[in-house]
Amino acid sequence: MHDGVFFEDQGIPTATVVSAEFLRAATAQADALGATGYRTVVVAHPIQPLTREEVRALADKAFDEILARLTR
Amino acid sequence: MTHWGDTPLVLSPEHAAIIAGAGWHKSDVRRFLFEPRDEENPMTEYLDPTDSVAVPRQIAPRPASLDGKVVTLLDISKAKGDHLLDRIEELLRERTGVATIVRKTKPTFARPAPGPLRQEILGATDVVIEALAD
Repeated sequence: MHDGVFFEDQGIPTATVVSAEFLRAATAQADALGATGYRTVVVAHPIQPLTREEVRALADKAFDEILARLTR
Repeated sequence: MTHWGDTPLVLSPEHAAIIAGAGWHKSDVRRFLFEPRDEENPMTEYLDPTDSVAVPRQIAPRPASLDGKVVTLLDISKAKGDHLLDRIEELLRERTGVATIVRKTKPTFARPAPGPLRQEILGATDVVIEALAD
């Protein structure tokens, strides 16, 4: 989150992908850093037990939202 | 936060003194942190341990599309994040008009990217996609 908040503050649109379990922590951290409007892209948790193909499927599912987060 | 393993908490003497000064014992801290408050969300509240924020941060203006843009994919070095980013890279090439895709990797997910890496990305990209915190 530090990096995403940093890049946004420097004028670089950033999409940070987090798993659902991390959403609250990510939002709390962004708020603590002063980026109250920072929004993440959320994928299902957990990641670590998934196969490569299952992780790739999460990317397919999240892709439109990633694009939406980066463009107007 | 995690489904695996135990969660230890270590307090510095200064913080322990503040908490003890408020009349809390170790058992109070343990109860506050670890006892579920509802079935769905054992941790229903996050407390901000940092000082108040002095400077609000900006959210960057967005381009209309990624056509002709340089996109940096920043891998935070958590296992399997590379699979996600590999697929995102393919999708960017298939479905958008991005000019260039740059892959960068943080040395560890546990810390912000080192200053030189941040500056390198900043000077050479239009947008960043960062993954995967899980």
